[in-house]
Formats: sequence, structure tokens, C-alpha cells
Amino acid sequence: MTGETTSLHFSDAHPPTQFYVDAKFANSLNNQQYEDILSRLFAFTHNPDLGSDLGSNLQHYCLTESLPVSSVKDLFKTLLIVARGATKNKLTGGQLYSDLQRLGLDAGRANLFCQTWKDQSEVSDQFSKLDLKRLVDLEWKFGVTAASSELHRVGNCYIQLKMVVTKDSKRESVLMELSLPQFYTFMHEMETAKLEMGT
Amino acid sequence: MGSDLDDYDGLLHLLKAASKKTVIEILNKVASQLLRSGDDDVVGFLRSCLDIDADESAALFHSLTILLRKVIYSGCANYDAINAAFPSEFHKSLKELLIKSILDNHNAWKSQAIDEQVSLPRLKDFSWEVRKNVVAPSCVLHLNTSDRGSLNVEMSAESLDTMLDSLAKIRDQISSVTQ
Repeated sequence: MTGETTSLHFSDAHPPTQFYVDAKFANSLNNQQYEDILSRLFAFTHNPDLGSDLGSNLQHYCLTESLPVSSVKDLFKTLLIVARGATKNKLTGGQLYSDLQRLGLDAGRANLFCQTWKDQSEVSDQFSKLDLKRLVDLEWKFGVTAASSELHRVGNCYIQLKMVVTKDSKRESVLMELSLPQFYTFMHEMETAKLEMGT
Repeated sequence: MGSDLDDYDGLLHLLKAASKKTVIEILNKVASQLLRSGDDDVVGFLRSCLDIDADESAALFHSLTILLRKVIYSGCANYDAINAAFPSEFHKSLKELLIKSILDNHNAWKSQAIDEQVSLPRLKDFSWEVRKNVVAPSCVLHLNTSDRGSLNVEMSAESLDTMLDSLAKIRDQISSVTQ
């Protein structure tokens, strides 16, 4: 049958057969499983640093859910390519949705994917607008000033923090010193933040 | 242990002050200059304030810096310690006034010295917000440091947990030292 094969939006290339296989597999998952995979996918797109644990994480997940590891990994790869393609080509939600449908993904599954992808894009936009850096490491030093050029005896406590942050694969160190009261306030605030995060 | 009377001669110009308040103001200005090594023209201030000439104000400034350096550095926090800094023959009532003023301001000057001491960039202030992202909540920390101004750092729940573990360790260290 002739007739043009309208290419998909997320990629110029014709999608490999594997993609259709993966879409079918995605349809076979239950809702929770599909959501779990999506959440790992978009956590990864947001924070590529998670990549090192990803393989074992997925493996472990498959074991607990009794899912075939290779199928899940293939699905993950495919969805990643689609998500990245959609972002790169600045697709609208509608375009992405139609692509997923054409790959054979169920309407509900496609819809969730688009919604999550869209929300994640907004987050990434804010990320770049705000010049947000990600914290990767924290080092610290606690000291007491014994003496200074101005004072023979000081006895003043201080805490030095070194935050290692990264953005676009560029690492940098941020040094700062806190007084004791500042430290206690900081710690208290971070504990409050943790409560609010609800984890 | 008295000190060389010559060093303290300059202090006598303070007797030309219109009021005790003026003397206190002079002390504070010189102390600030000492602790911050600011650009203020303190000597010029002394000239106009006390209506003395350039030599006299230089002598006064010299004496004041010697006295203040000594009492601040040695942490003279009581009457006897400060008294010991003066030569025994020094003008009695002026000495009493100076001792009282130094006692009153001692803590403030010490805090200022600590604030100004050699250190890393200081944390000036910070704020935070939790963003309930699609995938996972994250905490955004806005920091304001003395050298690089504002900085925004994002932390996952895991990072925040790790940070809190570190902060707890620091707190334990502090407790063990300050007991």
C-alpha cells in the first residue's frame, strides 16, 4: 500500500518495530506499575545523576512485581527516547499524544505520559530560569576561634559548610561560614522543610 | 604595671571635650576604626570635635589606639584590668571616665572584633520552599552569602535527608565540645 507515512512528531526517523512492542507491553501493565515506571523515568530526566542506580533499581522493581526485566528496560529506553524527542522538538501535548497513540499506546496511558511530561517540562523551565543548582555533596568543619589578631582570647564557635553543587554537569563549591545561632536556625528550618516534604 | 606616660599624654586633649558624651563618642569612633580599619577620617573628626590642631589630634589618636588596642586585645572586662592599663600618675577623673566608658562598651567591641575576624564568606540569610513536583517533591534553598550573593540550590528528599544527617553530626560535635 502506497501513501505517505506521515512521520511522527518526536522524531524524523521511522520508529523501530521495538517501539510498538514496547507500547503493547506498556498496555499490559496495571495502572500502578505503569505509573511507577513513569515516575522513575521522569525522575531520571530531571536528575540524570540518578542514572548510576537506575539499572539496579529497575531490576529490583521487576523482581518485586514479577515483571520481565528486559521488557521493562526496553520500555524504559523507548519512553526515554520519546520524552527526549518531544522535549527537543518542543512538541505540544497534543502532538505527543498523537504520536503515542500511533505507536499503539492506550489512550489512558498516552494521556498520563503527556501530562507527566508536560508537568516535568515546566519544572525544568523553572529550573533554568531560576538558575537552580543541584546539591550533590556537603562537607563541613566545626571550629572554635582560639585567638585573633584583635583578641587574645576569643572562644567563638563557627561552622564552615562547603556545598558542592552542579548545573549542566558543571560542579562548583560554595563555601560559607555560620555562627552557632545561625547553624541552629538553619538546622531547624531544614527539619521543617523535611516535614513539609512529607517523606 | 603602668605604662609609659608619654604614650598616654595625647589622652589629655580629651579634657577639652564639651561633655562626657563627646568623650564616649570619640572612644567609639576610634574603636570602630581600629576594628574595621575603615576609611573614616577619625583624626579630622577629633580636630573639629575638640577644636585642636593637627599635631594634637594625631597625638590623641595615637594614645587612644594604644589604650583601646590593649584593653580590647587583653579582654579587660573589669575595673582592675582596665585600671592597670593606665600609668599610675594619670589624670584621675579622666581615667575614671575612660574606665567607665570602656566597661560599658567592652562587649560591643568584642562582638565587633569577632564579626570582623578572618573567616570564610558568611551566610547572610536564607529561605526555602518545598515544591511538590510531579515526580518527587524537592526543596529549593535560597542562600545569600557575603561573597557571591544569592544562590538557589535544589535538593531531592534524599539529599535533604543526607544533609540533615550531617547537620545532626555537627550538632553532636558542638554539644560534646561545649559541655
